[in-house]
Amino acid sequence: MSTLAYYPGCSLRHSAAEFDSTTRTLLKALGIDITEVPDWTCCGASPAHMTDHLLAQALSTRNLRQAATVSDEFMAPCPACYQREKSAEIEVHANDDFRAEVNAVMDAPYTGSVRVYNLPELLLEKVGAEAISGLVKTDLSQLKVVAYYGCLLGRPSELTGECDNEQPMRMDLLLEAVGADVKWWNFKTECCGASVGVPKKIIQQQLTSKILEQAVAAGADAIVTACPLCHQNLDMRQPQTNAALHTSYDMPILYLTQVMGLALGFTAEEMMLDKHRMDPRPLVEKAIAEAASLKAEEERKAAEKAAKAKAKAEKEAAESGAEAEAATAAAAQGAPAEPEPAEPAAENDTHGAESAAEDTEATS
Amino acid sequence: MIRYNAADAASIRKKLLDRVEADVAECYQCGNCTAGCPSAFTFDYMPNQVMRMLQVGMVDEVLASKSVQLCIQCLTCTARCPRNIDIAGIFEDLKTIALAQDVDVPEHAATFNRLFLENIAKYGRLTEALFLVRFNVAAMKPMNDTDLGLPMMTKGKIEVVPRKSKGSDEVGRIYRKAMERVR
Repeated sequence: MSTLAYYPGCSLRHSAAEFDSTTRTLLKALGIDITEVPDWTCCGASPAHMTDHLLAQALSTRNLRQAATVSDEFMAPCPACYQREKSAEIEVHANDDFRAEVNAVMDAPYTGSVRVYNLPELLLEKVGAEAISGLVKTDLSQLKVVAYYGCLLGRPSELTGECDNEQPMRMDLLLEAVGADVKWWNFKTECCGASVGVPKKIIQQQLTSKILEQAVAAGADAIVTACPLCHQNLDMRQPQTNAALHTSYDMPILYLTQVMGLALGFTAEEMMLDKHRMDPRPLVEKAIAEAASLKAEEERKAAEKAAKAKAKAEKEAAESGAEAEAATAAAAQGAPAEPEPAEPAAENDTHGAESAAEDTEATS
Repeated sequence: MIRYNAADAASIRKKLLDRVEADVAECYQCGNCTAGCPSAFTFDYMPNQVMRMLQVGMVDEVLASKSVQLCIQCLTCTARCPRNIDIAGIFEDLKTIALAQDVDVPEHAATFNRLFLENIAKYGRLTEALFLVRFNVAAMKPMNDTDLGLPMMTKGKIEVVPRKSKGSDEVGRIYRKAMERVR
């Protein structure tokens, strides 16, 4: 089927409204047609699977049944919804007896075979890092970030299809594809405390602060996540965490879709950066401006260098016609257009003959 | 109201416990689960101790422990177990058994789960703000997270008037039918 069944999930309706909106914008820009799962309901989240297994799987399977009316491919941006739906998909499709048990508690049976994707998986499989790279309009090379997966986007790798339980890569690949400066760290899959932030704050505060600490240590200016609950704990609860643990973190937390959208040329307003508590706009504006001025500086230097080389070549050509002819013969292989004398190699001893040839190509 | 079928419920609990006991037999006490557990610092028994207690039959002590209730289900232990034991799955099963047996559990984790499920059984989709208010009342922590109210309100992240969504009736029926079996 050509359309994708899109399952926003409860959080994306209100507390993570910007994740929903920016996901839809990004998917549209990448040419992925979506249809919202008709009359979807809650996947059951953690409370259901911590209460009863059949209850959990039935609540999730109901959504697969609803999705099957529009598509056999299903995507939930929220990793918790994804994990519940994927778990139901795997168990119900593999075990007919269990499917019958689940069908017995639903109003109508699920007979389909819907495949569940998570967001980074879908983007890499349906569009691909290379194609995404080709669409980049805004240079984010000065935006230093770490990719934070949390518990349920990468783990367990048997379910998610990630390359490794401890070092998942899909978000890193996507962020690199859009040109962000992705830092390596070891806290990609450390738990942020999840919903325990409501009943037992100290767990969430301890865990969240460790993640913030490690992100700073990794040299990141922002954390990128694709989970509404991680975002809640890291962003909305950051002042709470600071107050409880006497810290003073001021770390913007961005959704994956927002960073990708910015790179694809959408504005800060379109990417709803104003929805966050730890305002990411100054950082994003600074990073984009820095990248632009760096690029301008590079262009200026390159132009200067080209002009210098040209002047030098002309001068030398005037001095000795024979020498210039010899240089032309040497450079003829790579760069036939502009003759570069053999001197540059001598001018900068540390550069080998190869880099001199590269310089010739770059300036011509 | 949920009907109680003692025979069925007991057989479901027995099946779960049998599975748990078969799985923990594999544990050789390396301690990897405890080393990686993000919430172990709040537990009364460390995850590897829970495994050992189950091996020697201390099931009731485990069911009444804080550890079972305070597990966040982050799956780190499962991912790192060299014996491929689904430790988080065992904690999940233990939690459901404790709940079904009405074990008096510590903390408000069980209240959180029950109110969450009652909310979706009524509304179909979680109505976040209403659920939080209900939880704070039940847990007798009226000021819990009130500092988040204003920033969330000003950023348009709160559903002021909760509405039922279209599939809510079926969700309610699924909840009642599933829970009838176990309680």
